[in-house]
Amino acid sequence: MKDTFQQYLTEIGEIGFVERVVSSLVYANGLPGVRLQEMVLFESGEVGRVTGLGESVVELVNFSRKPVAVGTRIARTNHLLEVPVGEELLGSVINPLGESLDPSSPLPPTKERRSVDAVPLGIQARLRIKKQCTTGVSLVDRLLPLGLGQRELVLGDQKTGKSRFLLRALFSQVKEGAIGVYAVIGKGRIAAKQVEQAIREFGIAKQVVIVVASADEPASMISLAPYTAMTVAEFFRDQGRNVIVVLDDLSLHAKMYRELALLGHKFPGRNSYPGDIFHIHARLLERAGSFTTPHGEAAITCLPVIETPRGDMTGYIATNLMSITDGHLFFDHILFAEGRRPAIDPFLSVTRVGRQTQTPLEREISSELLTFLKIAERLHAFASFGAELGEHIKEALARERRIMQFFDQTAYEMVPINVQLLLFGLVWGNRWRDKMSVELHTLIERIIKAYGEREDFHKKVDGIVAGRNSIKELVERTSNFDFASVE
Amino acid sequence: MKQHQKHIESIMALIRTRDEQEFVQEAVSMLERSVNQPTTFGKIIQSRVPEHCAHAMNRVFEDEALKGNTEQLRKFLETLKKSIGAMRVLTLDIAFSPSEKDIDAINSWVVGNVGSDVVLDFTHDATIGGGAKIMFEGRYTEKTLRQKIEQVFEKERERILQTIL
Repeated sequence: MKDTFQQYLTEIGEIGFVERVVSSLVYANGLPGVRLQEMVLFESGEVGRVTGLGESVVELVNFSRKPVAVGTRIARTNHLLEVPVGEELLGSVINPLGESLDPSSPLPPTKERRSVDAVPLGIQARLRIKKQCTTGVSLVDRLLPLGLGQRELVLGDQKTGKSRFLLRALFSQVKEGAIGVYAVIGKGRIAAKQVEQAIREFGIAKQVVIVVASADEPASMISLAPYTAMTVAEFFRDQGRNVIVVLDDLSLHAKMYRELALLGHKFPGRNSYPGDIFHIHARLLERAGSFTTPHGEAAITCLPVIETPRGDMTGYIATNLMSITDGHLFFDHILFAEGRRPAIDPFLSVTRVGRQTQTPLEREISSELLTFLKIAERLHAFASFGAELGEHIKEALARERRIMQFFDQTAYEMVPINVQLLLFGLVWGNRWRDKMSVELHTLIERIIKAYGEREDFHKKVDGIVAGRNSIKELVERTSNFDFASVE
Repeated sequence: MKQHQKHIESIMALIRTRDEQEFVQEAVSMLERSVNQPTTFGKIIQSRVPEHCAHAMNRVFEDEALKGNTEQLRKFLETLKKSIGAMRVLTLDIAFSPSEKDIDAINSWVVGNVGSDVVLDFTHDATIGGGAKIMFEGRYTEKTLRQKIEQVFEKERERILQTIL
């Protein structure tokens, strides 16, 4: 690093000296030709980035946990902050500077380096979102479908199953050939380790890049993490691969950005966040979407996460992100406490572009289900008065219970699309009217297992679902489904 | 006022290094605190300021315009302190400890070619062999023996190898 520092000094012929240090922020003199966002090197080996230019002072952020001493020399690099990108990153856990976090397996040198702060591609490179992004979670795929290239905010309280859902979506997409990028932003080391472990357990680690900026990293490093994740995603997109990016979570990112802004005496706005907080999130998420690349169509599907304390989804950052993204999935802590898995509230969740990716049958199912569940919710309110219930109400409530069992994914990770449609046909056609709850769970589990393991059953299910254009047709086809064939 | 500026410039021209700048600045701070007892000025200057600056400073405070006018003196000292603090720094990494003669020679060149408001900051770096790394107002240039040798080895690698082998 010392040699590199000297090389840059000689090459560029400019030098700066650290004048003042405030946490991650460094104020320096000198560096007359430095540009905003340019990467700089400190004599002691740390890397920094220019965040502000004054008349005689340059404001920098230091990405190292180690503070730099006053008087330390600084060299310009004449290029923006870059991270290494390439196939070599697959299966690795990196920090926001693109360095491996496992000292026993450093990353091999990559051919390419990319600036972390790229300009989002323009309208000419963008395509209409027309393919579905299957998550393997029946409730989402049926009621709130996502499209490849969609930006769907995931919000909810702590411990409401958000991470489980994100990992399932990642798993499902990687199984379909996409590349996964999971950014752990400002979480504890244990949470980061759990994500890593879950990805390994799913057996998809070789197709996933994990970017970790844990809570004990400096604010500068944490606020850099989502940009690195997006830069890695853009590399794979440019290779013609679909990518799913999880940014877990952006509320912590916003807090770290606020910390740096307040330390730098930037004027505080609402909730003390700087005025450009909306801009930086919008600019980041604008880098996702469906694109045309030299290698064909490719999409970056982005799932940013926000934590909502006590289910309050009206917070500043939450509402900002709701307006930036193409919809949101709300994880309700009350539903979670009631035992719903996933605890997504379908009435408070939104998908803006996902429905255009669905087939007519899927659209009809989604619309029918939402209407039915809304009616059932009203019936619940009516039933809570203790009124004597008519047969049709009892029947509707029983059907709702069965639908909820169809959506329940406590035990299994991923439900393939055709199995979801088959199960819906069975539920909607009242084929399970006489089944007990436990019995139903076992049966659903067996169907999923048989679909994954037995080719004949796989073909049979595909045959039932294929070519159906309406719920009526689907229910008719599933009415003859032989439960014995699952055995 | 013009006379004051002249005095300040004459003091600044005598400050050669960062160390001297600090000594003089500290002495001026002490003078500011003793502004009501101008009789102590001579003592402070004698004990705190490097010898070659002390004469000039003593001469300045003999000026009739400053003598007996506390307000003027206070203003003058304030301006002097600010001006000394704002002096530009020329950093030199050199491979030896410079003697007084070396410092004088370098300083007179700097005062003549760059300006009288420049102080020298010497850093010792034996690895450069000879010459200097020069840093001024964010600009950096290396004129060292080490760099020259490296360039020769890089340029004439083949010829050197042929001579040795």
